[in-house]
Amino acid sequence: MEKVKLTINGKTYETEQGKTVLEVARENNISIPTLCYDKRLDPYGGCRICLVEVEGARQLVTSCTAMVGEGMVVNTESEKVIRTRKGVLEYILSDHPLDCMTCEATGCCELQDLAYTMDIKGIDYRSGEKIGGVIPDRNELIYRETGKCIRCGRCVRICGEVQQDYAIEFGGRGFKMWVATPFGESLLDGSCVLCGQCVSTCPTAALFEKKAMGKGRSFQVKKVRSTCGYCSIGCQIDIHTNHNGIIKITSEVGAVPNNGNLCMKGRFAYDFVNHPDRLDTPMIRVNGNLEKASWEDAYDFISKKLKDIKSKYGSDSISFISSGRCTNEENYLMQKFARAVIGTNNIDQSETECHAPTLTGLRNSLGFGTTTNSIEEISKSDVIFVIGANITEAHPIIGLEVKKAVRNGSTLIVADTRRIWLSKIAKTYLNLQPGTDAYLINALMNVIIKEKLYDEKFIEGKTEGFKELEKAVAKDEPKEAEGLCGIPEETIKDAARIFANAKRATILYGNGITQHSFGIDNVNSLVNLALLTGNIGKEGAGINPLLGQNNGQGAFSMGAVPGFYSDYQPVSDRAVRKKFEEIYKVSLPKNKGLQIREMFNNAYKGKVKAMYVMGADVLMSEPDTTRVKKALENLELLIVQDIFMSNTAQYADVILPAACFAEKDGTFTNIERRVQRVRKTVSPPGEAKADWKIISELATCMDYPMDYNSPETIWEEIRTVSQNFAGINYKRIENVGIQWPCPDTNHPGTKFLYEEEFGNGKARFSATEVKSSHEKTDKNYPFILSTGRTLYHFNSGTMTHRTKGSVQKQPYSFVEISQEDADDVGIKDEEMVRITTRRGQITLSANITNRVMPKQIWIPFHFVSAQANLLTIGSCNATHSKGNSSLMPEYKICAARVEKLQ
Amino acid sequence: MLKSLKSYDDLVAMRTLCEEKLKLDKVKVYICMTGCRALGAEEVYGEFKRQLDEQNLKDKVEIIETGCQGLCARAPVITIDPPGVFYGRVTVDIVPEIISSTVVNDQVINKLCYVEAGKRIPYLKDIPFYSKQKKVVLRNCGIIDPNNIEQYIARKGYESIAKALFSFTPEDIINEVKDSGLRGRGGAGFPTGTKWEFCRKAKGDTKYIICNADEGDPGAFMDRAVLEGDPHAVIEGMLVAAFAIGSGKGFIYVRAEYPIAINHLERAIAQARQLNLLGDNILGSGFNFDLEIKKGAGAFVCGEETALIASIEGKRGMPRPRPPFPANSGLWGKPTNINNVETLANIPIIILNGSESYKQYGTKNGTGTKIFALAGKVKNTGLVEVPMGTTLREIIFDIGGGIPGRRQFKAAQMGGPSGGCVPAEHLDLPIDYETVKEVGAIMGSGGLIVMDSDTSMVEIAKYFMGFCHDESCGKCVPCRIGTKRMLETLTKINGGNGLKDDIEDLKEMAYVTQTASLCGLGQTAPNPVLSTIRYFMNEYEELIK
Repeated sequence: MEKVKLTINGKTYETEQGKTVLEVARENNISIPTLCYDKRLDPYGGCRICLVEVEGARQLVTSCTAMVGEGMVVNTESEKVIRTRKGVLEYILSDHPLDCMTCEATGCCELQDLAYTMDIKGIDYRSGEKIGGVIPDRNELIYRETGKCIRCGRCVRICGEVQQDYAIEFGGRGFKMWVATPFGESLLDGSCVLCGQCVSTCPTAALFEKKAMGKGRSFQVKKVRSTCGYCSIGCQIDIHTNHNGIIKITSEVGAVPNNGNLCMKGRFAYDFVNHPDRLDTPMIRVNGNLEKASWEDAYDFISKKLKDIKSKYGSDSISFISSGRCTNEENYLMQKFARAVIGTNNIDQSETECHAPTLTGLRNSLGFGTTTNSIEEISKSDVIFVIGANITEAHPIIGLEVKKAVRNGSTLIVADTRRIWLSKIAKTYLNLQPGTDAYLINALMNVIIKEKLYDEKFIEGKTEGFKELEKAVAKDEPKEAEGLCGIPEETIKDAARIFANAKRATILYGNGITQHSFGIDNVNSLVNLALLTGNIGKEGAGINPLLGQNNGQGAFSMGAVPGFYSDYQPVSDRAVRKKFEEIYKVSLPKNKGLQIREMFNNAYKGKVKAMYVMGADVLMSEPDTTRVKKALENLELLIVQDIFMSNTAQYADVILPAACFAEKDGTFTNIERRVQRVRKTVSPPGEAKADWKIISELATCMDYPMDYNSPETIWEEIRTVSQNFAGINYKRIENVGIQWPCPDTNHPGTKFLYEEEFGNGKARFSATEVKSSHEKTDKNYPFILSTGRTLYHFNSGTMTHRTKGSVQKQPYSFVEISQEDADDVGIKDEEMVRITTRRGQITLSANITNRVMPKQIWIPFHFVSAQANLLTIGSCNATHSKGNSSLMPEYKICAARVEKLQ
Repeated sequence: MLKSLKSYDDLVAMRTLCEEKLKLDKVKVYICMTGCRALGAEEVYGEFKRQLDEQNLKDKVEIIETGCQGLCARAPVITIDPPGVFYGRVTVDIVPEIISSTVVNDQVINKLCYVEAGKRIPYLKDIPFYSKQKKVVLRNCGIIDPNNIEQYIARKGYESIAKALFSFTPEDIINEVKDSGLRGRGGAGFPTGTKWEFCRKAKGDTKYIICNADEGDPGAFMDRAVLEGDPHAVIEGMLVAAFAIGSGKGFIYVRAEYPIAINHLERAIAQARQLNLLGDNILGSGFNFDLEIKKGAGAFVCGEETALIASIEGKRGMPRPRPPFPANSGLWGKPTNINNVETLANIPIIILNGSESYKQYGTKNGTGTKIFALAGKVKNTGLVEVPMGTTLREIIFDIGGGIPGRRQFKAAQMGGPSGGCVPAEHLDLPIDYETVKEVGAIMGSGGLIVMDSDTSMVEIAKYFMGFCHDESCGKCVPCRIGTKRMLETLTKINGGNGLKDDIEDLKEMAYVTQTASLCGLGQTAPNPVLSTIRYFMNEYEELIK
């Protein structure tokens, strides 16, 4: 960047070209007030508060829009500036209710602060008409009052520029301008997704969190920084509490990685924390009924039972399901409990059911089984390839990064069976048939190789196995793929060229890729594509799986998987095992443990006798619910440690009430490998305890003392046994999380992987033969059913179904079906239908939409009232796993029938 | 169906044919079919047609539907040539008499003639309103049928673009326009050639040219008249500009309240396309350019360049701070040149006759002519084109015929809501961009409203402030709230409820609004207030007493 020198208030500053006067002033602690400015938005120049005097300029200029120039002479405090600024502020105040004494924003109002600092006393001559009032809106989350609106446009702009929802826009003009919804309807009726981004940027109380009203001013409440407990992005949140609990959640602009942005769940879906349904005491099943018990009784009961079962059937008759919802420390303890206390490697967690192929595929080819690059790099990519990931709903804040990138000129390619939101802004939309991802990716590579668009130097220097790949994809002509995937040959060729010609191309994929019995082949194909084009090991590129749960990443890396201790250290490695045995002071099992899928199969067959489930509603999340239920019923002991009486908990023999993310300390690792702090903000209900505490106490009760007095002490142990985490300690991540690998405390963390070399020396192409293995449709089951996430709910819904807004926006389940098929079946929009597969049936409401292609239907899996997994397939096609522990059920595809409910 | 012109020779050949057609030995009846429609021109036209049919005079008489002939005060107007008489206030009843007397027998009907100082002046060339004007931009307006491209071509139409394409480089064109001294006629008076040069030099393959036809000043109708009366001149001006800048696509942003202008433009564009004067490989030169009309939705502020661009992009029409200037980042972020209608209509004549010839009119600071829309308390309201440097007195008294009745001239409001009131003491001021500014008004787009001794200047200030208040987009605080508060104060004073401090308050509010507003609308909104306070303080004081 070229340097320029400019003078501000008589002092000379050197800075880079391309910055605004405001930015440079603020960097140098020169205060220029603003009202319409928000770093996340394009400069607007509307409030006129940041006006400064620039020598030689015809007019005063807005410092938020004026770019610095060589030799520029700026005065931010001249008489003219102050006189004008005051005049403008007086104008604003002349159209304001000035009811600060009762206003919610008092203490956190930018207008109030400015009036105070500018010493405005009385506004005499501008006592004219005032405009606006409260806008009645039946949405439960966002309060709107135009009287307090200063028309700075921040809400309108964040909705348009950042969210790109365009739910609000200025209506009317001049003095009568106001922030309007289409046709004056409620925010519930338009394109608003209730993210509350508008509230977050409102400088006054014109927009405010309804749930926080009357619960205390900003200076009366406690504010604690923590990490969001929903998806895997790890948004930094500030939890505001009063004596009754959480009153609202905000985020600070500049926070990493979300820069102050939050989605509807992150901002508003916290009602569950203080919900009366929370489990607040241990329970033991007595004569078939769950009865309240003391912790001592519960521990004794479990301890005795586990010991009995262990001695009767052996350690491997016991299985542990850890949780991508819990902290790193808790996952670490859970695996330690399984291995050291019980002596089994039967430890896994539900993120495996989403990303086992990721762990295996990426690890085998590249070295680490995880995301290569960072969230902030998405906006630096020239081309973004999104496949099998409905990002704007499942990972909304990454969705914002993609939207931002496209807005700034990046090219987006979307491949999805559904016409997801991102397809609207994609340059190329590949509307592929379900289960044909690998065909498509191979066809892309076929074009890239045929047209010699690959990165020869990269392949030569950094990879092996190219020849095999070349051979394997030679037959996967785009013409053939056209027939299989349903995408025109030319479109495939275009997409291949766009991807290959990019300087930096990134791949973002989700469960649409992994949750197939041949998910490993899909992942391998994507890795091949990235390697082929040299898009690994550089900024703005990479292959990035979008894990689903807040700490799925941590659950994997803390060793809550059968094959690895923490930091992906293989249990099969004798030296590794020896190291852990020394630290755990017991001998550890060397046999391969069961993966979650196998645990249920074995329980079904009666081989697994006890299961300890922490923070997972497996009955909702595992495929083929009927079979899972049977498996649970077979158990001699089911321990469920959760925050609600989930579907699974209803089958438990012991229930241990746990603390939720807002009630405990610890760390989560986000999707980009960033270890971030979670902080205790409120106390758990009743006798509920943090999971780490429960595990420690239970272990102690079982004669394996765990005397951790805080999550930090657990983390210190993790550091000592996990090289890639050794450099991360609580002090270092007090403000901003650090991305592993981070081998020592001077290491800054790793933004993107493989800059120097690959984990295994060279990256490996894994030539894949594409296969089709999904359940075939027939006369009785003519539809292909797929399942997935929506924006408003999370996983099994125990949290979001107890939250205002989520329920209001999406109260019940639905099946997406095309108009054509709806006509065939004879159903109208919102009519009740029955969906039947070879495993079960559910009834729900029809949602006729062009998001799904004909002969395909789609159901969200968040609803207990219509459990999608009653329909899905539980068995995995082990032949595709090649024995490399990526057993993956065929979640995403099954044959189904749709009938009108009579 | 018109035949596509494949080369310059084709154009020349066509012109010869068109000239022949025009020369045909017929009596021509020119009927203004644009503004005069408001007072019955269509009916008059219909009657003429019917009568000529009935009387079998079609071969001897040709009716030409023209644009504005200028003297709107006499609407509906017609000109009959030969003998060259000008009639106003023509009614359907009198059409048979006009045909029998004037058309057939060259006899003048006295009651239809223009009267000045009690004297009838039958012939157009003798009427001071016409004889004292210099029609350069309006050379075709009121004379040709705007819906007939042949008549434009017959009068050297599209010769300039042909000349540009085959004899000039884009740089030559820019230099010619720079040499001509032409300045933007939309109000700001920025040198046109320089503006083109900025856009030419801006980086980018795709560039746009926009014609700003969002004329909105109260009382101004110059651009409407040009679009209605001579649309091809604007199209040709855009073609030359596009060639100079390196643009392949243009937009005409015209307000939806100008249906006749839109209609004539649509037809003109269609005809130009048929003749291959728009589209690909124009006249076989390899140059491609096409045009699209975008209708404004009734916001005055969309005359501001950046708001206009936002509006074309489909966004809410609100201005944004500059830089970046549209020349570097305009429509959809591409380099964009925006010129006003009248500016573009000047271009063909500059290229055709050269900059030297163009500069023979006007002053050093303002070359060429300027069209004014003469309105208010003046006898000859209408459309007037005079060389720059003409005095207000010449326009209002010599051409405009002075103030009706026995009242006195009090002031002329120039430049619309952004302008100011020029009092009698400056009647002999030669008008150009700078001189008008010095006396507290602006040249503006050409609105000229005459006020007589009965006019209340506070009322005028209030009127214009009300206009700005209504038209403020609302984006920036000083314009949104400032115009409201100033309007409230003016209303209070005008209603006799003013207080002594109100004038000082007004001045302070004017200062803040001028200094802090984002775009020209707010920055100039206080001008009418300040100029009336400057020249007519007594009227304020009388109301406050």
